[in-house]
Amino acid sequence: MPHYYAASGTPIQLDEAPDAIGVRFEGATGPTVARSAVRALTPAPKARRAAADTERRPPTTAVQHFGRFMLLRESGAAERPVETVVNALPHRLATHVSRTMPVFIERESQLKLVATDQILVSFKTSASAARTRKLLDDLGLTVIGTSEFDRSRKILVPSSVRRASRTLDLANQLVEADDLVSYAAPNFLAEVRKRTLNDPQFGRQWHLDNTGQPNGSAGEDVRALAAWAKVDGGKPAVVIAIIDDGIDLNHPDLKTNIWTNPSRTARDRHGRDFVDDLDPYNPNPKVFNAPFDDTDTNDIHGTPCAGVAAAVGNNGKGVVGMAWNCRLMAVKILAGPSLAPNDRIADAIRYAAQHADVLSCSWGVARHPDIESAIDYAVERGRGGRGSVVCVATGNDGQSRIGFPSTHDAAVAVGACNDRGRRSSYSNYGTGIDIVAPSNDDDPRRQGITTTDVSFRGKGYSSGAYCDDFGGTSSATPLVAGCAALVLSANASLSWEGVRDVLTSTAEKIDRTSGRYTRGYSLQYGYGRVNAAAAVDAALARPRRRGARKTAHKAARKKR
Amino acid sequence: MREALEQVGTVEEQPSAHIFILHRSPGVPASEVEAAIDALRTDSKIAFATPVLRDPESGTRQVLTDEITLRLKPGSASRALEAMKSEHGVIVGRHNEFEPTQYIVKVPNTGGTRTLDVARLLDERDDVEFAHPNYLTGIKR
Repeated sequence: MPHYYAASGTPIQLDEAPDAIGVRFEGATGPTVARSAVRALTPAPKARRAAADTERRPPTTAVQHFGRFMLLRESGAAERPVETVVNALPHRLATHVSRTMPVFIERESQLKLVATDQILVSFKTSASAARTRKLLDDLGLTVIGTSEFDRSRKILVPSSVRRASRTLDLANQLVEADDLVSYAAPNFLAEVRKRTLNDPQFGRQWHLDNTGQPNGSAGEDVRALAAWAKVDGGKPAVVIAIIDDGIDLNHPDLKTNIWTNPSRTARDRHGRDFVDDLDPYNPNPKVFNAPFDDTDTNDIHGTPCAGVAAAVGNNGKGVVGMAWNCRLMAVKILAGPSLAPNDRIADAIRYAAQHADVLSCSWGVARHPDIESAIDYAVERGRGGRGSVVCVATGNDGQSRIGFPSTHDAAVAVGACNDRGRRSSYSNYGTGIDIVAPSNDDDPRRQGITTTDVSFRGKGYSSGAYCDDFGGTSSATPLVAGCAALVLSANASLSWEGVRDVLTSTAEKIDRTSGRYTRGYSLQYGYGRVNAAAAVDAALARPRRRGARKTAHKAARKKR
Repeated sequence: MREALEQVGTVEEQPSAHIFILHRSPGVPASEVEAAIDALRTDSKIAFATPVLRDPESGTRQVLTDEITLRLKPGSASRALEAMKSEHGVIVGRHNEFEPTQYIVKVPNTGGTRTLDVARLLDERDDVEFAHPNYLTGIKR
């Protein structure tokens, strides 16, 4: 029998899975009981081998547990309905079964959805409390929770156990009250198909997926896999400008993602060089001086930054960028030695804001009004008035004050943390820091960042086209810029402030002991470590608005 | 020219800005450096010689040039520029491609901290949003 639920007014078709059932165990001990149940129902390896050796294979039961839930899947056992497997549970476990739940398969994606006894609903702001209450009473539903990101979003449960198996029907009845309800759907336990990336060095990129690679701590990362499960590597329409010493435009792992000016007559095909008046439309690295791995005298810094933000993903080559399907624009403000005219730096920011959604600035300079004015320009005029997001490194001096231009009110000031979720010892901190992202540390036991390196023979941080020792707040900044690009891929209508708010409000509070968070803010970590998955979720939950929106950033100073 | 400067110190080249930074050798008195620079100036081989400052907050170098970044208040363009030319002797250079009221103005025959001094005077004018030396600034990567 076909089933459906509604998303943005479109019915999502479901089929009931004949070979699967969800089981919920009751109470606080539920997770422990679910684990025991999985063990009880999973044949020992020896038994599996014996079964495989015989021609008469018994039906196999795949069992997984998720907190209080257990999902059973049967194969080759049409004659043995899954309920019988539940009944086969040892008595001590069976008595803890709270309820069984139907499992559906979404027709388009073929992903499994377990209909729990919860419903997610978003009420319209115009909905009166009295009418909302009456609707819930009529349907026998009770509010048990409110979203921390959106107060109008509630979690409901049926008041009676009998109705608990009918959440799909109840959600659809809520949707019919369209004068009160924006959307309603069961709070499915949803199967997430993790994207398998074929980039050979992905396993070394602990900052994206920290599995406890040598010396690291599993989970101390930006939650990239879960973010990609929702928005892949982002949208090609979202552009990240790397304002630095150029990007190796022909790098095999960057080339596909290099931005191309949509104007066919424009001379700035892929970006601009603001310091070379003789070759201003070629933003490649150009200046190299021995020793060729010295950052201060070589154009080798922008290419690793670009790789962290948006190296091409799933192309069978090298590494993966945070926003691996977004585009990279090269804006060059440095040529070899680390000196540049203020007006060129400022104009580079203004130029980038004309084309890019996110600006990544892995550098610091002395405070200058022209550069301040350029950041004002970016957030006021970028993205058709919604404002470009300007991510700036706090600096690598280990000081308790952050450097300019990360001090600018409209900047997203980015510090660094290591593979164990602690502040990198060099990372500047203090008033104004917004967020941190994984990078290396002065402690040599901590891992560096694996990313792209300039592909010119003998030049760069390594001898090849990739390096594994990049770091600093220079690396943390394009990582946050990549997260911002994913956020905008999820919801392009957000203003620059909306993006910053999404990133900071969903950041993970790391190192709570030394971090000394007060009202969610730490002078060491800002609002915490960027969490790409939570940020994308929050962006998806926010309303989408059409048209440009002028932002007045001066009225929206950082509230610290 | 580089050879002449290397008699009194080491030379750091900033090719994109056409600027040499001279690091005075230990033991060489400042007067000897001044004399070397004056000789080059007399031969019209250098446009200007200015001190290298250091920003106390970031620790970065700030090389004074002969340029000032000038932003006028809206509606005060041509008359204000004319007044600045006559009162301060500045030359109006590049018009900013992104900001309609912003210019680079040049301070002719600059030396020492004259660019900084002129910038301060311009910054105090009622018709000016800001005026600040267009330093060749140190960037920390």
